[in-house]
Amino acid sequence: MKELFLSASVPYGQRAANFPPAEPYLIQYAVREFALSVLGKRKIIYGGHPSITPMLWAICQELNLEPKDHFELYQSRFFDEQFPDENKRFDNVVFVDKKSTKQDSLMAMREQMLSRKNLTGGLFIGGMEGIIDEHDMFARYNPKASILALRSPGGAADTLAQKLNLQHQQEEATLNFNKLFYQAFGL
Amino acid sequence: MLYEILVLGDPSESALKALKAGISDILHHLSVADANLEWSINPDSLTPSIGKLVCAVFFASNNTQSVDVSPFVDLNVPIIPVVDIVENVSNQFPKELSELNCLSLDNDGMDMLIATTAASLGLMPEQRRVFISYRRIESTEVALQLYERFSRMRFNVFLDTYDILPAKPFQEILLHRLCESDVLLMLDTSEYFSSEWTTYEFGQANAKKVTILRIGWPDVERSEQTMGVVDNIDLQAADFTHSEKLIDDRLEQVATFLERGRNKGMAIRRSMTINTIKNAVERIGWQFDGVGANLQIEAKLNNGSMVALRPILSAPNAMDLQQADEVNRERKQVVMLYDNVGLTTVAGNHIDWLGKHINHIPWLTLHDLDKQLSDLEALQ
Repeated sequence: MKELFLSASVPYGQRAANFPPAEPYLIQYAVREFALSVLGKRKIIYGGHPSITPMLWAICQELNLEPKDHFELYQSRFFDEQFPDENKRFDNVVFVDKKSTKQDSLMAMREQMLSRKNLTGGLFIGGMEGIIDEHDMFARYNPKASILALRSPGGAADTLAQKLNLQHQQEEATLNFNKLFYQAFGL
Repeated sequence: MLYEILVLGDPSESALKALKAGISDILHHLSVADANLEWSINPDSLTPSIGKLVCAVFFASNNTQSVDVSPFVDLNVPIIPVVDIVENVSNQFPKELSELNCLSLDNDGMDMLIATTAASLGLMPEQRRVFISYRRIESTEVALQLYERFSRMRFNVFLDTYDILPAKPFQEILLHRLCESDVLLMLDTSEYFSSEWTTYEFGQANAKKVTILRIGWPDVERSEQTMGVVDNIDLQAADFTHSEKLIDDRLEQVATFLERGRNKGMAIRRSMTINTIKNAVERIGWQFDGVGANLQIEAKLNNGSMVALRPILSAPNAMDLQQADEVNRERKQVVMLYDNVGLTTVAGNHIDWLGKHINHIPWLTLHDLDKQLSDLEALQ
């Protein structure tokens, strides 16, 4: 099955002020809408996030999909203690050995995750610098893949969307995520 | 601004006055200030605003066939066409509205118009449902206080202290009431996420796309999983009386917070649901013919026949089916649409039962809608 990379997070703290204001609930809604649009058609690949994993798991259960066939999450051993216990019962987690620093550990995880062979698209929602870093790395490893960065949930993805002047450029206030996903990823 | 009603076409002075008075009356009963509702008379356009609930009422007359309503149809604004007498239905509307269910003002039709308009904005009491999620050992006094305050605002409030009788299957009832609610108000005390029950309620609300509003207790650090709530309010120690209730000013702020948060969540959820349906309709080559009262979407199949798609945003039941059937004067094929993700077993069984026994109205899920609609067309 073709794969799509998901990079999404809620901006917080002082660093969030460096990017357009984010609407956290829209980030959540967009991730849910993405899951409902693509699960069953594409496999979702992402860096394990405490709020995303339970949602994907629950949706797979509701749709009678086997989670390990429909999403895969990467987790650096550097963050072992921060992740929910639920991750321990998932058999679709790729654990990446930690490096000496947080930055190097993240880099190692991203390199392994984004160099997968079946990635055909990347979705970027909300976030801060990490979203930009992941986009840049994703584009380097997957130059032919489709890229979609959402504007209305705000954050670094909004900046990214405007900077790249993407093919699927959106009205700032659009909530029609479903249409964007179908257009961008050829669902 | 929480609500906006667009008045289009050619309303008579008396009809407009009656409609405004009727809606104002409803707002008064809900303790919603008139200032939260904007009336726009024949605007040229509408600027979309995330979080505002909008509907339009089109008053038809002999001069209204050429009125341009396309800006509002394109924005998926629910439009309620209305005529003076039912015999005028066929020849007074712009073509974009020709497939929408129409109301008439004869035979005391104004009461129906007021109710339909209010329902299209989610202002009917039966549509206002809030679930209070809290730890009994930490926040019962405030939970009870909010129960009483929200009830005066004509909310249907679920509070497990009052609403579940002993010996009932607790979890199933709790989940079902949660699925029926459009807001989960979480009282985030220090031990909220230590409880299996409240954690479960929170997780289910997320899965079901119920609007989550957070009230943070003093000195409770906000956890990462609550970052995606629709809105948040943090209480301070000074907000409480010696008997652990909220002081009056803060209580009123929480009441306003609920009204605004519910509105925002509902507007977004409604917009995304309509988009999902419209996108599926257009992807399979059908023609999208607008959104009418009760968010009913009219569409034309490739074979030229018409279908009425009726989305249900909460836990569907037989009343939804009855209402959809009763307004179907032209006897189109009606199709009920619902979100099956996060639905309880009870609700799912109920839908299966309805589908089996009232089989001229099928139930389809919003997930994978393209295929289901195509299959439906193939059966015709």
